[in-house]
Amino acid sequence: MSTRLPQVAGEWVERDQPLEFSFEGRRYGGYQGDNITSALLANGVDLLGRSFKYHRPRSVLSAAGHDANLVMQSGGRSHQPNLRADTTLLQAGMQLTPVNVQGSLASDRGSLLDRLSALLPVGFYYKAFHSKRLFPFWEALIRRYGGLGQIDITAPRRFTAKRYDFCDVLVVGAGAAGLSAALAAADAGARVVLVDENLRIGGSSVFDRGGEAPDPAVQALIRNVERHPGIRIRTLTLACGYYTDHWIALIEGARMTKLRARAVVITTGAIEQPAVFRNNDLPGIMLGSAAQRLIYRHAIRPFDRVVVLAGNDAAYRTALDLLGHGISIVGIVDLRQSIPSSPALQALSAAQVPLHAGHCIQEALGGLRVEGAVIAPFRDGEADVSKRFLLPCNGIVMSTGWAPAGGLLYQAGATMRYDDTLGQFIPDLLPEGTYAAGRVNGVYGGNRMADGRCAGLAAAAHAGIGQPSDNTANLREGTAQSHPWPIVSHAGGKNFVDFDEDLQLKDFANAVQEGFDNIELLKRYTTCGMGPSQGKHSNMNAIRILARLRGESPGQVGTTTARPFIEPVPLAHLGGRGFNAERETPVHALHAAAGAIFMPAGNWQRPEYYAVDGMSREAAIRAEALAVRSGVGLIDVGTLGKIEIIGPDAGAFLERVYTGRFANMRPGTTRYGVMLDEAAVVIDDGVVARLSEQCFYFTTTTSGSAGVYRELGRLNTLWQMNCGIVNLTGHCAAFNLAGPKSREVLQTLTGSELGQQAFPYLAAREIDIAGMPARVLRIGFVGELGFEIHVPAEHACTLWQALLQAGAAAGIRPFGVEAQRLLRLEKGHLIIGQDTDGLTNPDEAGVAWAVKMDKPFFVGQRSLTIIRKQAPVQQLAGFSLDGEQAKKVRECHLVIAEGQMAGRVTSVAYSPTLKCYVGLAMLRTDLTAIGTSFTIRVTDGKLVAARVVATPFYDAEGLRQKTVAAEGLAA
Amino acid sequence: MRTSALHSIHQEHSAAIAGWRETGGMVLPARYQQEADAAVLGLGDASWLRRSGIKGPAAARHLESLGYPTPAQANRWLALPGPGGVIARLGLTEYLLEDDGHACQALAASTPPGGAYPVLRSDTALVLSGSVAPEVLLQTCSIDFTTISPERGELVLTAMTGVPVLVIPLLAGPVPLYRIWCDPSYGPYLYRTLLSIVEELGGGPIGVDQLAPLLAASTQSAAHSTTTSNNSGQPGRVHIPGEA
Repeated sequence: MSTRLPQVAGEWVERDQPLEFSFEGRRYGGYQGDNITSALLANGVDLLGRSFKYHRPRSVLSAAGHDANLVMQSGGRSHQPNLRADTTLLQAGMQLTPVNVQGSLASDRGSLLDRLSALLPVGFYYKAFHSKRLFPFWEALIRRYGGLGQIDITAPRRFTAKRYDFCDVLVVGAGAAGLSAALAAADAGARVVLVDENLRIGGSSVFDRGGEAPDPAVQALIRNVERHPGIRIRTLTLACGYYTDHWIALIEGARMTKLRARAVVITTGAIEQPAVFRNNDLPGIMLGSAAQRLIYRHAIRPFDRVVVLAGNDAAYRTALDLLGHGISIVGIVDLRQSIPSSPALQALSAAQVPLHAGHCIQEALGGLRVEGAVIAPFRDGEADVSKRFLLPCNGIVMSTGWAPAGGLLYQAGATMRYDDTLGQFIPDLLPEGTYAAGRVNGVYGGNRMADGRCAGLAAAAHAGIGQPSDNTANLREGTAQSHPWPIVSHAGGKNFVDFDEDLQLKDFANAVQEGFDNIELLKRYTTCGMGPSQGKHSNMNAIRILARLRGESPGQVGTTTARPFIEPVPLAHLGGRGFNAERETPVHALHAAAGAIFMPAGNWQRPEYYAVDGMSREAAIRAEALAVRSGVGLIDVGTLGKIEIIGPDAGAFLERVYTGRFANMRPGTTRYGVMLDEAAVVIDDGVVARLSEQCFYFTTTTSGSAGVYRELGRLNTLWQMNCGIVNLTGHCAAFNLAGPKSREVLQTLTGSELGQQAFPYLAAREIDIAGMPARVLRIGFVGELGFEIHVPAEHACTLWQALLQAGAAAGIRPFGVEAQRLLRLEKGHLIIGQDTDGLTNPDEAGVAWAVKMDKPFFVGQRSLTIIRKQAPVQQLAGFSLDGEQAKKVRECHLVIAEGQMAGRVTSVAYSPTLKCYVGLAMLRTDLTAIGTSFTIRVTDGKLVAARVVATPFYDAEGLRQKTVAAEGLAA
Repeated sequence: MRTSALHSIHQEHSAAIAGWRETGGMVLPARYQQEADAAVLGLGDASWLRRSGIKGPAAARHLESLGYPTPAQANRWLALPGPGGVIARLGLTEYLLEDDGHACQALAASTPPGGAYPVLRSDTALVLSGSVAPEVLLQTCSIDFTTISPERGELVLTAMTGVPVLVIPLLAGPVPLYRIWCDPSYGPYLYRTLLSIVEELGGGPIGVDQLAPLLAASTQSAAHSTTTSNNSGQPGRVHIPGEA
């Protein structure tokens, strides 16, 4: 049973700050500085989780954040799902329960699956889903068992602020190499950020002691780094993603920081790898570095009688650390036939620790905890079971090898190669500005500081600070740090390679036999490395197994692709605060005060309609439309793009970007313009006003304004014409005063003559309105006498209020986007992007009249010439609907002819003026003749009859907007 | 009467506003009940100043003919006479002028030659102030402002909270200030978002009474520091013909 040790030098727990918490309903005590794992172990709780697939009992493996089976749910006020017990700091009052448990940890009903493991072979998921008939069955079953933890959907939303940060040199990993790199770069004058995922800096140098006191050189290094003004230390911070131009995603407790460095030093070290033998997952079996972490960081003695499985020299240092803290070593079992002499070996011999060279653990025995190790001679990767013997113990420590923590290096674009001497992948080619040092670079032992210093200086020099080191010596030791085959087969299986997904040795052999013999295929078929720890403990052994099965070296097999993020990250961190830039017109608040219900239009907020007490949405919209038809209405059209083009070539420029003719416009007039792209697709439309010989002012669609301005700028740069383009979209407000009484209302605010002679239809004037300089266009998008008034945004509120006040006697009513859409539909005016799509040409949209093909050039002209040589396919046409079913028709419903799709509805609405439903549809050309009947399939699948009618549906002659009839009506 | 794009927000906050002031033809909060300390972290609406723009290959020549020397490089600024006045070069041939009206009115009243095009500017003008302001910038903008040199009169065209902005850091005055301009249609969103972060960090809104003198002092301090840091006299304070 595990216990808390007396105070250990350098321990992280603060014994004067006790904390209380509960686990599975029982109360326990821990200390500030404990993580969940260490606090439970200190209380003698060794069974900490269940495995994902077979629900096997599990406990500490790495104590380094990769124990994917030790996942906890924290309840109560601080509800948090999926906490990793081995890295989550203990907090007072935590109410912890293990996830993936049915019942209790000690008595998990799900453990029945362990006995059914023969029915869950490799590729089980693929095989289960192969049958279409059984798909729903398996889906329901797997969904029930899949997933970890529970999210409290009633928890209040907490915004997680993201943050940017910057430095010259980022050092990831604060072990001996990282500390040296940071110090060297900072001494050279660089602004350094040093990040480490742990509570304190020092890395493995602090806990890999070989039974001795903390290394004074490392302690001095830590002090120097902590005191250096040029180094910002960020502990409990995980560098999780490496992006182009040295952007690094740093995950901290409360947020994600996007840090940009000029150069990056990766000193992330190496991850100790488990050996593979039967029942290697029993609680009490852990990595040597895990035992060292528990002892030196948290003062935990995880067992008292232990077998050490060795495959490298690190095992002997670990054994001394165990021995020094009262743990009896039953035996050291070394996979190697000959063991190099070392001080640690000599010390252990002196302590009469039994050594079994050339042996392996063939099997661990036990139930909820390891009780013994079956030892057998081991030669050429095979155990000799005829000479087995048992070593009773309550703990097994595995120190057989390492894998580089190289996720960030892979993401940075580094090329790695397998070094046969070290038995490890090491960096071969590093991208510019990225450096590696320490164990991840294949440098173990005393050279790590020198390696870090070289990398730090090189990184600072890359950032333009100081000079790189002239030390170019190879600092890698010539001895293997990893055993090439720490894997023991067993007829009974349960020798796990991947602890996240419960993958056994035989699963790999079966997968290869089934043809999945490429490392990427093997990963996906077996799901090796696809669990929460992302293969940090399994990929290296998987590569070794595949290499042996294919008769190749690990280097030839290669590695899988490492992608961000290298650790699971809370979605809230990725979401951040959520910036969603919205635009408002200057009179937004006045709309709100008038009861406007807003809708998004592009990135603008626009009044959809103005709510009226006791009136439905539809009724309010229709009332607004009728007000425009019968009296006067006012709409805010400030969201339209507003662009000015000035200069001698302004007219010629417009001739090239629009399909129409503009060079011959007289000052003071307006003209409709259609804009195409190079493929002759309609991309925008608007009204062009010529204000003077060299100045044009034109509008674009709301959603197209930014894109049109950008494109015009690009074209002007390309064509080098003598004109300037000014975007006034946000700087100008615009209102459309429309209706038969609009002139009389506007006339009260200006001394300028607005009569038909002075200000005819399609005229443009620069006049004063309510004492403000304004540009006024007499246009009629809604089909009534109308004036579009443009003023500087700062004067918008004053003007809006003045117009409403002036129109009060005439019953003026503000109207919203929906009423405008209805009014323009009655006129058959199209909306680009609604009645057209990304393929519609001007002929199909019914605006061929605005295309002047006899011009020398306009954008899209060449494509349109080609298109016109082919038979037309579709055409926008008006239609009307009768009967009760008409109200079921919606935009985007399909037109059906002879059982086939023959078009789609682009606009449809009930017209209170015409007292029927009318709409526009993009129809197959053979259906567009006036009077043709067709059907529309509505949401419930029924077909509704429609008939093609001529447009405009309302005021076909356009007399109302041209004023003759309107003046009569107004009078 | 001019109206700030943030007028509706000021109205929403009226209960927290201790007084109003009309300045530059605009009514703005003069003081808040619990006014933030601008030296620590504050956010203010500086839209009362007048703005005017000009662009085109002849723009610089026209400005110089009016007595306004232009920054020698793009993305630089100079101080104009009058409290808080600046002339900013936004690109190769585009300029923004902002002051209490003198220069803007002179430009508006002038007749530009061919190749110079007047630009209507109704920008929302904000000021982020105080020692904690860099933290707000780090949460909202991907630019490393520590590399922007106020001594060289550098300005930044970037995006903040997703909104295109122009930023001029003024770090030589009594309180560090960041002047921020954006399209007025984005003004309310930008102000609300910045204010929520400012308040989260312990700051708050500041009124014209605190802001105006700071703005004037910081802009002039920056102008002096740029003049003294650069023997070429570029950038620095603009000297208007006839002015003492």
